Amino acid sequence: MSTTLSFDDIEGIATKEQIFKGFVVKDNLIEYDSPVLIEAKSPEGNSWLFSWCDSTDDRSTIGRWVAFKVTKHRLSALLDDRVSLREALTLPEDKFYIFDAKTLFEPIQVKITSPENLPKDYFPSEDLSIKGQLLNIEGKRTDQLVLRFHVLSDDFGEGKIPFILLAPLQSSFQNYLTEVAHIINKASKRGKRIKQKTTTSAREWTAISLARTGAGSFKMECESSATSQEIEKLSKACELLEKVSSSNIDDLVALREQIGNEGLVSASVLAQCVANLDLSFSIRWTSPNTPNGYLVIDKRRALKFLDLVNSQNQDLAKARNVTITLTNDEAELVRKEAVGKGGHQSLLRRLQKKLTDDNTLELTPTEIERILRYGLNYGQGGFQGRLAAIAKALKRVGASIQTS
Amino acid sequence: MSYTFPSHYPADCPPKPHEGRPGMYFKVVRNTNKSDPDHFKSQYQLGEMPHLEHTEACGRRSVSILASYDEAVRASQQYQRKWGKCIAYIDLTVGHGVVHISPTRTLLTHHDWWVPDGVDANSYCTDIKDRIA
Repeated sequence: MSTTLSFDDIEGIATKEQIFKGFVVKDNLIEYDSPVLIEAKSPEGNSWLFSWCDSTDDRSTIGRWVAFKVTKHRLSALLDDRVSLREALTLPEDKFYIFDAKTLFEPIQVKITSPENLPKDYFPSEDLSIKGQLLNIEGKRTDQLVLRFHVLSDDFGEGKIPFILLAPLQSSFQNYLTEVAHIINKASKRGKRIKQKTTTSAREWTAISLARTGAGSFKMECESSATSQEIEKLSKACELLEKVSSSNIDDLVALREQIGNEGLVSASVLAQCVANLDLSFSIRWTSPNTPNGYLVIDKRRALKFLDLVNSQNQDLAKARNVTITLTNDEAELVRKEAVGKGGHQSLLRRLQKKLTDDNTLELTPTEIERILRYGLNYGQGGFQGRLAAIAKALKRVGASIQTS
Repeated sequence: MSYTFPSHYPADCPPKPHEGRPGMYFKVVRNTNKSDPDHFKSQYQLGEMPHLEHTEACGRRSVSILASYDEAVRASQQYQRKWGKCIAYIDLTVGHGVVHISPTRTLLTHHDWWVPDGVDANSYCTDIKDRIA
């Protein structure tokens, strides 16, 4: 067991020790000698998860715990084995607290932090369901890369948003994977001074299909006909993507060194897509060089990565703009006068100014996020209907997003 | 068989019937040293979760063991930092104390083992294997 990290060395914001006052234990979800995963109720009636992660002294009298609020949907997904314990702990939906305590709800010190700030062995080493069922994936052949792409989203899971809107996510992930593997391939050939034409198209390396496997769960498998060297590079691309989820300046520098600006744009497009759709996902992969790969990305991590990228390079921010072409009917809806002063109207007026005579629109990531949010999440009003038309156009180009 | 339990045990602890339930059991431990006294310490002896003394005083004095090896492996994978990554093999034959089956939500073969005064729990450990090795 590695040594205990000093509480002061955990990155985060200190908060009041009385945060869990009035909480009560509802259920010990996992216990063995002592409870380690506890469902608790706050005085307001919200469900919280408390998970043991460390002991801070030899006698184990002071425990270190993480705690966070869970939605009913996520809790039931955890209890029904649709979400692994590792996913539940690494993809919290709300503020994530870490604290040291002798008595559970009476912390000695508390911080708001993020899972990526904590040591990896604070979380389960495998994807086990709460009942201990192994949810890992296994490759069928030794030279195969198998991916499981697990989207966690109430909106997609409950059918509030059409499944097809996930197409941009699939597309941007596939683009990232193949582009970065291609860059790694070129770099390795340069290093070896081999004068050989690079692969004609990275897209030929693999075929990826996305299929619904359950509520909020989408499985994407890479059944590759690629050679083992190419598999190794695709797998390396997954490893590098992990840096997106735990982004800091050092990670970004290391990432840029390996995949260049071109690869960084691919990673940014993927991160922007995650932020726009406001979803979380985990990727598990297995390949000969990474038998048990795991990474998570959610809106918070994606925005953190994008902020970092933008602060380093404004050109990359512009490269994430998307150009779409509307049908005449869709363009007609956008061109109709927008009366009023609300957020929908001002967004529509801005889009009207940008809409060209040949019905094309260049949208920034922020505009895309607002179109999806207003157009899909705020009922069926007139303005929402007009924005939903643009959202449909975005959906249509999802499989082939153009970047300017 | 009658046993004497430590004086800090509450009344009627361990609960009746005082069964031995002999057999092979498993426990997740932190190292492969068979004589490490920490392997078989109860929550009470470790001083953990003192607030549970009001509601689960007897349970806190037992040692958790599992009848299924697979469950021991899974427990280890879920909270390796807490319980360790080694699996101890425990052969309970006779004179080891009281054992009750006490399934938890996730560990269906979980048992509580109350070790009497004068009994060395480590002496029932026949082997410890590193799960990772």
